[in-house]
Amino acid sequence: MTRFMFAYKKELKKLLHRKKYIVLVILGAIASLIRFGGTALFSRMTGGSVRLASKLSLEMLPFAVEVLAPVVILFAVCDLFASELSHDTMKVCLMQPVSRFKLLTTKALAALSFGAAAMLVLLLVNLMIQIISGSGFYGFGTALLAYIIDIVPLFGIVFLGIIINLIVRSAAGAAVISLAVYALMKYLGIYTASAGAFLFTAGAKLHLLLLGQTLPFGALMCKLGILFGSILILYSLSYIIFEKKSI
Amino acid sequence: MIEIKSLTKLYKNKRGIRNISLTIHDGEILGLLGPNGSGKTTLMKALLSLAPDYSGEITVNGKSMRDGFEDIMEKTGALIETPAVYKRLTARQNLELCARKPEDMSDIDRMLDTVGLGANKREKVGHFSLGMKQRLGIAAALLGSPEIVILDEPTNGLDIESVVELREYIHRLNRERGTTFIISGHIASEIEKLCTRTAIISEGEIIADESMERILELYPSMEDFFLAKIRERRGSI
Repeated sequence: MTRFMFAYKKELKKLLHRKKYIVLVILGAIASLIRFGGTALFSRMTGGSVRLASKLSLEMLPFAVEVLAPVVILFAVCDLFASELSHDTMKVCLMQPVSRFKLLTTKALAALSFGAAAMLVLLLVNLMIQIISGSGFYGFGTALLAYIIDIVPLFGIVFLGIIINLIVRSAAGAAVISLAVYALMKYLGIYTASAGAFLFTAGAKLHLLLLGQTLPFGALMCKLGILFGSILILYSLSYIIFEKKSI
Repeated sequence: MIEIKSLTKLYKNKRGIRNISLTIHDGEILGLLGPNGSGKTTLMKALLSLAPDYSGEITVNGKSMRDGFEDIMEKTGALIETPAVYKRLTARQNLELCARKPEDMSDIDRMLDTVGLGANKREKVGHFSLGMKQRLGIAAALLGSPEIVILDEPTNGLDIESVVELREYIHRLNRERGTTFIISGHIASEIEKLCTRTAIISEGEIIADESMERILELYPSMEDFFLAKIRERRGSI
């Protein structure tokens, strides 16, 4: 476990030196401000006769879980795989005293941690806006739980990104293709519901299944099965490709 | 002791290594000498599992590389081909990422001083010259004083003074700590000064393996030994 944690911390360190993640989180915060600004503007336009009690942290959850975190994760995966392969620094990682399976897992966890951290920062920003605007902690407990639950489906995005990064060696190419594939999967989920339902991206807002809904047990298990099954398949596939990679 | 049995690793273009068997005893400095593309780097990569789909067996102190990878790699430092560096990071930060275990962190400053980069430790590696990057790669390989060190053409890009300093440092580590070294090169005189034993690789096969003492008894220099063995091999083909 010591070796695993040591390797994980080093992967995190690599990402912490990149400034683009700070920029992405700032962009996320700006999106929250714009969302809040729209609500405030509506209230002003109606002369204050319509006032919307804002659960901003919950309202911004779809953005956090479907846009911000996936983008952060796909960039992080790109930095830890395609970029390391193209700059030949992957051999530094492979010469560490951790097996390839553990190395793959530490890198995946580091990317996921960055996605989760981006969501957490956005949640805190939203909470601050709520407090300043007078809505206080309205809906914060549910929002926090929902944010935590929605981290789980992000594993699928991590492993999807890893597979693309291991196939496409160019860092820029891998980033573009990863984002394009993710966007396509989301598109399928929105516009072709029958096909989209079988993609793990359809379960991105996992909290909707688990919080405040009374979905039949069978249907719930079916959706969870698709999500966890997809994650397991992607994890296994990324490991098979990584294990055979010659440097 | 490192034991290599029937090691074969072939690339798609049919180049690589074939059926290599070698035993490297503790405290030896083994030189791998061979022409460009003879398989020296492939052998080293297979030893480190950087080229994982090899056939044959590698054991270190009786432990198989496939089963005991983590334990073996904790005691093994390596520099393969060009030094792998994170250009956006400083020399010190680079070594932090190369540390094999948490205790190695306390050895970073000493190692940077040893390779003459103490004054540059806060500089970004992207601004380093080729020789400085090479010295950083050597520092990464030797960080934490590993028991086994694998160096692929370590003197590439180094000036004469640095080559001499590196040679003295390798000899000191070998003498004082009993470190085992596997060092590849294509310059015979360098291998002659550095190693206690030499294996010559040609076209993916080991065609000669002798102690340096014996080589210099039989031939005037390492260069003569190398040329004789290479010509013998070509003649036999």
